[in-house]
Amino acid sequence: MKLENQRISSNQLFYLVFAFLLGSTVMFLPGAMAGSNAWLAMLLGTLEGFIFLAIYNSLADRHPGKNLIEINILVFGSFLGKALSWLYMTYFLYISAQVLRTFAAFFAIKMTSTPLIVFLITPLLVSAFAVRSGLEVLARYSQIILMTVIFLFFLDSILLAKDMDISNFLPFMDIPINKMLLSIQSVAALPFGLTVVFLMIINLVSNPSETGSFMKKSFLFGGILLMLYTLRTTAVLGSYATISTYPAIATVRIINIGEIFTRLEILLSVVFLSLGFVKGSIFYYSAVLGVSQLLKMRSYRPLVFPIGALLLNISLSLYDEYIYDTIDTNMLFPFYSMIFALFLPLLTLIAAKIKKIGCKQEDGVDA
Amino acid sequence: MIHVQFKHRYKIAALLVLILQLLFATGCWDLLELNKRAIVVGLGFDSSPNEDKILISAQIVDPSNIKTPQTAGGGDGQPYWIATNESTTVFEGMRAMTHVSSRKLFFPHNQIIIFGEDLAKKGIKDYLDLLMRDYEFRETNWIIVSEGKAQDILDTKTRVNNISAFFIRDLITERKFSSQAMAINIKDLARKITSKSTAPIASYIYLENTGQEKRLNLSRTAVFDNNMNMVGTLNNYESRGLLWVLGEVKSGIIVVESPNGKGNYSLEILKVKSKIIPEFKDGKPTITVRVKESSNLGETSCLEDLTKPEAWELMDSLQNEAIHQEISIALDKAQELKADIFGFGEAFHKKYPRLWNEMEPNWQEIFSSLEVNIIVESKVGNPGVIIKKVFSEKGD
Repeated sequence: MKLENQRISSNQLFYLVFAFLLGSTVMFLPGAMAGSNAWLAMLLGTLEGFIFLAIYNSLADRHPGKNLIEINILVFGSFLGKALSWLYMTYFLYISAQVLRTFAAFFAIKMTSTPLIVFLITPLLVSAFAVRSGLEVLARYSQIILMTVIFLFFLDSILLAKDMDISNFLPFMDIPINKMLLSIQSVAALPFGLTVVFLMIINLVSNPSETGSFMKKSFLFGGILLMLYTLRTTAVLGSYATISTYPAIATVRIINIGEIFTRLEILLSVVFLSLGFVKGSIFYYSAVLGVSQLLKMRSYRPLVFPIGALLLNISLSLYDEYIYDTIDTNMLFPFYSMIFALFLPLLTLIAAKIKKIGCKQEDGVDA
Repeated sequence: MIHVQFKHRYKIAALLVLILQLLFATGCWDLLELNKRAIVVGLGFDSSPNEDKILISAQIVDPSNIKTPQTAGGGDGQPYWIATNESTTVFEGMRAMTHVSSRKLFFPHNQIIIFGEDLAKKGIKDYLDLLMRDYEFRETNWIIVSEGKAQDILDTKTRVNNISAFFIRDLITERKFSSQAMAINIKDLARKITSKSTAPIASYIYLENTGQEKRLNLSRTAVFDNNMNMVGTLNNYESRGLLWVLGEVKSGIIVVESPNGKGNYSLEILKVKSKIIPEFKDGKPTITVRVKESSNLGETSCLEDLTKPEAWELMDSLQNEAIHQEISIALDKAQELKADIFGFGEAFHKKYPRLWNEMEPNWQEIFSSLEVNIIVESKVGNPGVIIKKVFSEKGD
């Protein structure tokens, strides 16, 4: 009994992960708090991301054709495995609600009299339809949107060339080491640690033997593009990036070519919206898929709207003031997300190794 | 088949209905109608006779009075209106404008922000926050200090471009042909403020009375301390001295006098490169400023023989001296004001991050007695379309 009949190719997985990594990250640039050393934080954070990926990949390799829930049940037994899986599902739902709220907060800066719920429902409805139509729709969508994003990035960069100042990358390493470590950790947690969600859908890739290498490829390309965004922001804004709420938007607002090419931040807002949509939808999709799997349902579709309603409520009640979100993303999230991004998968991997579950020769037995 | 076609048509009809609905789905809470917004192009801040209050003036475009060739002659009103208000905070004052303006003020098209000198001397720290925090203001707005009241500057009748805010914006972009005035936008100002050691600077504008008319003149540079209190101004030559160090001289004319006192050379600046090199000599911080420049001979009233290489070498050395002179008067003024307008502190910060931590608390004192070596290498290249002098010395 399969809940999802659609399959995606490894190539589509690549685009999906790539778009997922850029997600809302291009907007906030998690390394930005490291000031002139943001690029270093981004680089080291990406490397830390590859450690996470190695764990996820070896988990997936040991259990071909299985997703996170099946692996959990297999390794920890029915009760503990299911309990852990429920924990994961709440986490996915929570992240999805946060991504949604991030959108809403962004638009609420300008449109102050529109109720917040409008900004929450609109993307959520679209997202619900995407989830209903299945994974392949999302994969195809991210493929198209990535082309646009990359094109826009290079267009903006050319227009910004005259505003860049290389000396903004100095001084090298003048910030306290704990601040640097925090920046690295937040880079690792924000886009890279979240990819744990792909363990939910990794069994839907038509060619399981390739998934590992394609995931690595998307980490590499995603890391490079995020790095370029960071370099550009630092080069253009310098120390201004550290006080800005949305450094990437502030960068594009600088563009002024002969009073004609101005006000291009709308392009970046579109990028932000369309990429964040991929991110939010994947979490939403995984939560819906996982819950219906845990409840042994025949189809996940009846759950799309109920869970969407839940999502809306979580999203609404996440925090009262924006500053709590900032504190969360900058100080707390990099650490508590590690429970799901690092410790639980690592625990599962170690347990699987000790219990010798999912070794290559045992494939026939497990399946 | 018929059934399928019917279903197909039904789908198209449904799609059309949905698309039509978009027309009505334009939002209703935060809708923004152009004819309900007063487009502000220039802002002025002045000190008010009431302590702790400021006078805000906003230059609003009045579309009904914008003259096009077709409508010229009809009505002689100005194409703008200056709305003023007095308040404690900037935001309050701008919102209270709705008492006097029938349309709410709209700032995304704002070009310039002028602070009256009186207010600038009292400090403008408190008034900059909104300009950086509010979404409607763009980071590319120019910050200017005016001699006299900012309101009068905005209300000056200008020629060619008859909205003064646009006129001043164009003065700022065209200043590159003389490079004797500084210009700074909100983003760069924020960067100078966040660097802590660099003294912020701004353009300076004043009203000039020529006898026939009053006109605007954008030259000189306003210098602030780190608390955004204005501490002084640089004159035109000092301003260019500053721009030499910052490497922002784009063009301009250097006039050097011939040593025998017979006439001048006017040299047109073509290319400038500059570098600030911080060093420690015997444990004492020193700065070396290196400026490389090349120029053209634009005009001369000297009677030297320009076909001889010596004449050109002479010009080179005269030019070196002139640039050196401009930089050193700017430096003297800055050290006198204890304002690190050049960003020397930032240069130390970038190169010696650890030693900088010790220097930072008393940087002002260090700067005011800092040893600065100025090294200028310049070259006069092209003589223009005539190589020989026009007049000979026969007349003497």
